[in-house]
Amino acid sequence: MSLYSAEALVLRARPLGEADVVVTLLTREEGKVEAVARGARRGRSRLLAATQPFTESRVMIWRGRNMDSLSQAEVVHSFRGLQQELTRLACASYTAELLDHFLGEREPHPALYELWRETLHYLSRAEGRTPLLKGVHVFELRLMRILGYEPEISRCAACGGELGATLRFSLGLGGALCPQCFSRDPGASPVSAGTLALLQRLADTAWDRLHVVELGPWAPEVQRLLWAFIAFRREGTLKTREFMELVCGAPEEGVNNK
Amino acid sequence: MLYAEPIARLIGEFSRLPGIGPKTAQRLALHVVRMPREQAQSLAEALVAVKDRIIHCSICGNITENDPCRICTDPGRDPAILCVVEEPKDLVAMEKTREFRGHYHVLGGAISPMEGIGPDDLRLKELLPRLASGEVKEVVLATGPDVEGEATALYAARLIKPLGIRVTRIAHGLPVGGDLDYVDEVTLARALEGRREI
Repeated sequence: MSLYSAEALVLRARPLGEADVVVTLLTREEGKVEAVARGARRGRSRLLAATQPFTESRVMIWRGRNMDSLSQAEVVHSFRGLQQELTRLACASYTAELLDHFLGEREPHPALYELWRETLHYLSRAEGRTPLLKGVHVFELRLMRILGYEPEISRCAACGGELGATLRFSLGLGGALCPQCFSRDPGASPVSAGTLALLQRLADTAWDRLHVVELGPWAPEVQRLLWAFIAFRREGTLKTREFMELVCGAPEEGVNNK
Repeated sequence: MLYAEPIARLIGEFSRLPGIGPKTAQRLALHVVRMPREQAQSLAEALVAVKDRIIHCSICGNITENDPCRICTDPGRDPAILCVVEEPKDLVAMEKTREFRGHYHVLGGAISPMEGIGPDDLRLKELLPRLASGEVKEVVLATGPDVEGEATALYAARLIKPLGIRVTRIAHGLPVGGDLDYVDEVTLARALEGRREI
């Protein structure tokens, strides 16, 4: 057995036995790691606060034969803002499940760690459903980018040529199609140029500049397209999405999406 | 099979209990073998009695032998204050304080989006009709101080507040007899936030 230290964000925590917790951590150094936090449900445990979902901690972990175990943890950032608003909590849970869904164990992705940390920072301060939704979409797009699934939205995904005024989006070919390539995927669905432009802006805008991006009338289509894209890349249902829709409400059409 | 069938079956049954591994199950089963017959009989009867006689209170959701439960029918309790807890064991913990003399509402769990437990899986829909009569003036949200408990409290508050009823959340703070030095930053920050004048 060996001991290693890591910077970690808690993806999820589930109870084990009487007083233990199994935490799924996203560590900067080792990627996704499962570890047992012994006694972490007892009121006075030092591990209690550090094993709450979304908490960022500096941790010491024993590498075990079957499962690692959390030896020490010091909270770096608790993202308390998330627990003050149900909508924030719902969006953060969705990002956690998405990460858990896409990541295999022990595949280090320092960029993903950074992305989720920034996302949690943003979500823990965002006010109102539209800024939250923007944060969620930025996370989705950048997650896809880091994992190599980024949708092609600036040129034709099939021929690489310029995109015309009439557009379709192909899940199978991974992006927008120009009219000449529509036949390459008969299942491709029509998409508006505004939606593609918005996706591009969301993907490229820095977190602290996100307030200048307006979702406008394209919000519902952006959401549908991203969710279809994610579902196409990785099968399985995301339980948190339903809850996020329940507490944040269905996407609004029209003008109130500033 | 190394053990005779009845013992193997008992080991199998014990190992289905939470926190009981195969080794512990074996120890318990062999202990039962050595037990006087009356004691084993009494254990078996106690198990069956729990299944036969324990029901959920139709008002508060607590586990009880009589419906409505003892707390819901107690005339000495204050009907104006209602405490919402996750599980019956939380109700027992609250009762042990002897500080609370109101009524309860047991949700039967907490919202956990990651585990797919939503508001519809809890007894939240039974809560609103209880508040409709106007008798309840304050709802105390005593769900756990973890993410699931907070999510549940926030969701419940969202449902109750439009009714014009006072909604409070139990405080987060320091354990009695603890050492400040050993308390984590998050708890300490919350304790500071919830400080009061003495």
